[in-house]
Order: sequence, then C-alpha cells, then structure tokens
Amino acid sequence: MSDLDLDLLREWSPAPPPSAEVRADALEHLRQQIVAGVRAKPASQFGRRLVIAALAVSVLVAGAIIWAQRAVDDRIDRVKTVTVPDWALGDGTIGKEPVTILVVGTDPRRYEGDQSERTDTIVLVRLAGDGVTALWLPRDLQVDTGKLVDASARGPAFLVDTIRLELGAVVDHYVEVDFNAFERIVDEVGGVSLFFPGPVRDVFSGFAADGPACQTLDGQDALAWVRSRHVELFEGGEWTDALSTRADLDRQRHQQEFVRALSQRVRERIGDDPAAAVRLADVLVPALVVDAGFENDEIRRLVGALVQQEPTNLRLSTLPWKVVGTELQIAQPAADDALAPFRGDRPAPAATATPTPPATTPVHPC
Amino acid sequence: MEGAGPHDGDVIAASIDDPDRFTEIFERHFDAIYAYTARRLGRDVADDVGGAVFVEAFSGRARYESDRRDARPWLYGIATNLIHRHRRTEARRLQAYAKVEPADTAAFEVDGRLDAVALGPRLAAALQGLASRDRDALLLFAWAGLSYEDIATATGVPVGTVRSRLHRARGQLRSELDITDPVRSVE
Repeated sequence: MSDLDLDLLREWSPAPPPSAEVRADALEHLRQQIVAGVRAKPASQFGRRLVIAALAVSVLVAGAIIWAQRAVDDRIDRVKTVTVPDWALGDGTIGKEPVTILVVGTDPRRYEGDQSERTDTIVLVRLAGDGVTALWLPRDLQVDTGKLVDASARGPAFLVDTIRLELGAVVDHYVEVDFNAFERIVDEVGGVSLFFPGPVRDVFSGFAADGPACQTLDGQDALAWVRSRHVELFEGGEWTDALSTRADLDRQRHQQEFVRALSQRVRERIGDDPAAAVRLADVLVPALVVDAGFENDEIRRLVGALVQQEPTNLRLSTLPWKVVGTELQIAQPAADDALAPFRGDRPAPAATATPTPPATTPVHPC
Repeated sequence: MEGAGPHDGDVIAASIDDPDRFTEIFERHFDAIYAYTARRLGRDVADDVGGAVFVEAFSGRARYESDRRDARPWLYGIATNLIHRHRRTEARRLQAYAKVEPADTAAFEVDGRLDAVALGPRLAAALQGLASRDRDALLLFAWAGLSYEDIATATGVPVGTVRSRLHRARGQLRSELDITDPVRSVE
C-alpha cells in the first residue's frame, strides 16, 4: 500500500502549536493540581475569559431590559438580595456618574455536569458616558488573604473590600449571575438574528451559517458564535480566514455585535408580547443575586445607560497576569492600564489605546 | 525521546515523592499532545483538553509502569479517552469540513499530484464514516506518529487488533478518496 492516504491526511491538517498563553494556562493549571494535590475538574476555565466578560455583559444588558418592565415588578421582589455594608461599596449611582458593577458568576458547563464550584468567574463591569468596559479577573489571582476566589467564598463584602485594597477598584454594586441563564434567555426570545455577509463557518467550534443573509441563532449556536475564534468566510470561491491575525480583536467585535443584537431582540420580544417579559424574568430571577442597595429606579436607569451604547463602545479585556512559582500574580505595568478605568484616576480609559477593529461583519439590521 | 537526562519513566517515578518533577513531563510532551487534540477537536476545545490530559496523567501517575521509557503512548491514551467525551464536537467539526461544496475534480491534482486542501471535504467525510476505534488507530498512526505497538499500549488492545483496525480504516479512506495507484512510492 502506498502512503498517499496518510500523506494527504497529514498535509490536510497541519499540527497547530499551542499559543504561549494556552501553554502557560495549562502549565499553571497543572501546577495548581500539584500544589493542591487533588484532582481538578477536567473542564476548566482555559480560554474562556473574553467569552465570560461578554456573557457577563450580555446577561446584564438583557437582565436590565427585562427588569425595567413594569409587568415584572412583582418578580423583582423575588430576586434574592445580599446585604453588602455601605462601607464596602462605593457610592456611584447609575445614570449620574460612572458606576462599577462586580459580576460574580458560574461558567456554563459545556462538557461536564460539574457544579461543585460556586464561583467560577469574577468580572468588573464599568458603565460610563463613554461606554461599557468589562474586565475579567482570574479567580486564582494571589491576594493578601489567599486567592481571589477564596475571598469570594468569604462573602461579597470581603470580596469587594479585597478588590479595593488589592486592585484599587471601587465597586458600587454587586451582582451574582448563573451564566447558564444565557442560553435560556436566547431561546426564550426566539433566538438572536445576526447578519452574515456570506457563508461563514468555524470548523473548530463547529459553527456554520449561510449568507449573505440574516440568520437566527438559538441559545446553543449563540454560545458557539460568541466563543468562535476561527471564523472563515466563503468569498470569491474559497474559504478565507475572516479574522486573519486580528483574531482576538475581531472576536471582540463579533461579541460586541452579539450583545447589541441580543439586547435589541429582547426589547422587540417584550414589545411584541408583554407576557414575554414575565417569562424572561422567570428565567432570570432564579439566576440572580444582587446587593440590597440596588433599587428599582436605579435599575431602570441602568437600562437607559446600557441600551444607548454603540457596540464599539463595549470594551472587553482581561487583567494581565503572570505565573510566579506556583502563584498567579498581576503583571505590571499592563495591569495598571487595564485597571485605570475602574480606579477613576484617569478621565479616559486606557483601553482606547486599542484601535477599534474594522468591521468584518458590517452592521446590518436584521 | 532520545537525548540526555532521565527517561520519562524515571521522571514519573520520581514525581511520586516530588510532585513538582511532573512538570518535566509537561514540558516534554505538551506541544505534541496539544497539536493532536487540536487536529481532532479544534483549538478551542484543545485549549481545555490539552491541559486536562496532564492533570489526569498527574493524578494517575502512581499507576504508570516506570520501566516504560516513553510516556507518549500513555499520554495519547489519556487524550484519546478525553477526546471521546467530545464526540459531538468532532462530528460537528468534520461535518462542517465535509459540507464545503466539491470543487472541480481537475483541481484535485496540482502538478500531477493530489492536493490535500482540495480533497479536504472528502477526507473529512471519510474520517466521519469510520468507526470510532478505527479512527483512533488511524489518527494516532498518521497524526501522532505512534507505532503499532505504541497504539496498542495507548488504546489497551493487542497489536493484532491495531493492525486490523488500521487496515480497515485505510482501506475505507482510500476508497473514499478513490486512490487507485497501488505502487506510488513513499517520498
């Protein structure tokens, strides 16, 4: 037998090297196991950071819109609240000045049914006149009292205080979200429509859509799309890499676009069918815990602040970190830049240094 | 696996008492395990699974037979098990590849030789049509570069079984690709 079949197979799918970041992530995860001496859950948070930042914003935006409906007022009373003492929280008020919301959430488990860890992700979201900035904080970040996730386990006040002391970020409001609500929200509004300029696929995540056309994504596809990092567009008779070297920037771009489309869809759905707001609230309410100082009027202003945003005013980033020995520490000076908008010590967020990526997917009403 | 220093078996044995040593196994093999996983499941999933292989290996290191100098068959075996948990991802991925409209048949040949990129959809369809055990054997051979013996160790079956799985997989692949040149020499 000749080896033509094997040669073709090898040539067709060249071996991709891991990125330095993925490699560092994996090694860090192994080190954690070595230190802890226990077996970790197989599906970890590798590579999910920007996604989680996007999900945090998506759920916040959708939630705020739903919440603003008078029809769900009685549901709002059912949202679990947690008391965070005044001394811990800042006094930013939505609609009046920049406000920082700490979103603590559980990661959707795509592969395992494991729900053993309550806190998977910690995201800072800042609303200001110039846009929304979401910053993912690594749960294993080393802080004075242990790891950030341990601080979280000691309650919201302790976590908020730790973030102020260690990172200099003042938190005005605290929200806990079960991100599993994301898929259900998308399904409940009948899917989210996005415009694709041509046939699009991501052979890595298995995502595929036809174009040029508007396509409606259900909850599961929506998550696959938000997660996509290797989008190819069929044009001029061949599949081309739609993202090229700008993969991460463009991923931000389509996540931004997605957040916009989802919020629009939620508004339409509620407009068409007021009862939908109640059903959405029923999905969302069990998935939320908010600080007791979050008043209904403020929530309504939050909606105004969020829905008026252009998608390009949404910035998603991750706190720069490094592995030192067996510890995960913040990497300076990059971390200071990322944290600047949350410290309020600079008028303009440093993230604007990143140029807004050009649209590969033109904004198109669906 | 050649080169100076202790072989994998020694390192793993030493890591029982000195767990930090296990990072040497990671340093030696992560890139290859990652590449194999990414070829099968895509980078997105490999970002998770690649690391999980070593966490799994670390927790099972006490069961490693330390006279085995090369840990690759063991690690690829763990990877194979983890890949099976993502069967749906692999199927969706191959489906997406197979869906690309077939190009002009003439385009399959470039300079008188078959072109792997043009044949991609057919390769994907062929891989999708294989039994899962046969696909494991084929890809561990073609992509991971394991020998028949290594594949037997990795998948926990006799060498004869590996031989027949490979034979069947390659036969199916070749007929799908319409490869009829029985004497094409290996370059």
